[in-house]
Amino acid sequence: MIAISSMTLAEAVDEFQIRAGDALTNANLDWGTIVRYLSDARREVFGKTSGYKEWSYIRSVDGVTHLTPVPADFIRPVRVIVYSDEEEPGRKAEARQTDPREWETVAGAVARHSFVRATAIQPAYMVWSNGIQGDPTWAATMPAWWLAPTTVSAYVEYVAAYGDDLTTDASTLNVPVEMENLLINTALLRFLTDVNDQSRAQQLWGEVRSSYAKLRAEFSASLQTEAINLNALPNPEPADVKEVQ
Amino acid sequence: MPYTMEQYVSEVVTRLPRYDVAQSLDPGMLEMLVNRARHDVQMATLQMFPERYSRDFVISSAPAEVTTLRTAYSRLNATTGNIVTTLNTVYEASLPGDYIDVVAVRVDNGAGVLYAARRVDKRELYTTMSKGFTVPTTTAPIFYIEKSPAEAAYRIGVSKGASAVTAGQVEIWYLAKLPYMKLTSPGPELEVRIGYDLQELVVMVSCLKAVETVGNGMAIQMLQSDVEDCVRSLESAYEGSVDRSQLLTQARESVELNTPVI
Repeated sequence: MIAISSMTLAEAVDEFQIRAGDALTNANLDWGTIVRYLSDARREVFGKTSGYKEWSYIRSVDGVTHLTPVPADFIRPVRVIVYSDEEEPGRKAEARQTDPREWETVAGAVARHSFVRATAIQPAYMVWSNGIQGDPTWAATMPAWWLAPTTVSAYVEYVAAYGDDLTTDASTLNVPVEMENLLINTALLRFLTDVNDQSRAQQLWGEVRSSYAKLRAEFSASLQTEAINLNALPNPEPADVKEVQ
Repeated sequence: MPYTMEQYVSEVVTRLPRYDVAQSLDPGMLEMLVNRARHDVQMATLQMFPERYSRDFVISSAPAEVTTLRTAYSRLNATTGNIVTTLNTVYEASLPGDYIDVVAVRVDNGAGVLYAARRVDKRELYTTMSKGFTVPTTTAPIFYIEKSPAEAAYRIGVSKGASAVTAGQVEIWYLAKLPYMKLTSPGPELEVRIGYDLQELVVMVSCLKAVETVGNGMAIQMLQSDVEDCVRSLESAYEGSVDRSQLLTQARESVELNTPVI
């Protein structure tokens, strides 16, 4: 048996050329243009389906400090692990996410509530503006990590978008396997639209829309199943105590 | 890489033929449609992802006192036994033009320490400023936000009790409108504030607006359905992650043993 791994760019280009068929001969496409279609299609499919398998798009960064800008491919945080060396060397603590409205209560210079104040062993974080008041480059700068206490550093994990476009034959598409077919079809759709093969494009567009609908239905079903399974976890409240006769 | 406006426009032009819309729209019109779509997507996702639209602002010029809002606050001086009356004051300043909604306001107490201000309704302002248990102070300031239909900018009113509010003392965390993204500029403008996952929604909404200008009824219906599906999946994923975190949090609590009573 041959082990299967993520589809490479070369395989995706081959698949594209096979499916394009006669239309490809007339268009006389070069490799770079096909890669362009695949890169754009990957982006389109990501935009429509990233919420379904968020765990397929996790990246991490180490050494983040207070007000470090989030990376350019940042979408949303997953977790923040803070290095709490103040207590003991090598100790780590997971930071809790706070709302900006409670930041002063948790991390302010004069916090009102000692029982929620962020410490090295009970740190807190949020993602908010970069802290530069009236920043004229605001529209071009990413938000920043806010850590409390502000002296700690952290290892962060976040949901990320794809980075640079595909370039070499050995590059892997890195899409979930359920979406590889959708990606090829979307790339093909772009090509057929460009060469004005309307009848094939319309038919393919119908297939693509059905694929999205199917993915959405599967995602909804998986959410319901997950809710049922998670609700089956032990109830934190004690069971009724009965007298022993 | 995030989209530039040129890439946004290119995507819209690429996708319109899928909906059997052959009419070509000029780049200026498409630039306008994409910016309207960006605005719509921001409004739809403002509460789900507020951090992307967060901005900080400090009132750099001295706020003006609103003399009509001076409120007398009387208290007993425990040392002398006399009634002491002070005048609590309110200072107002204009908020930036891209202001949408406030998240938090921090006010300097005059000694370089910032305190979170609590928001009050205008109807309770007088009572708040004249009663001892709610009166604003340098360590418990208050603020309100309002706007007149005759004015373009929102105004913020801040009170630290009898202390004056000077320039540079009020820091506002708020949600800001996205600026207009241009097709041609000295350099390519990148879409940074709208996340990758939402840029696809911007393209779809732009296509919808483009199709609406053309007036193709069937295509409009199809696109509306696609946009609604996209938004619904976004909302489902967001709700799922919130529900999941709540369920998982419960699981971390300890389970007490079922001990029998003898």
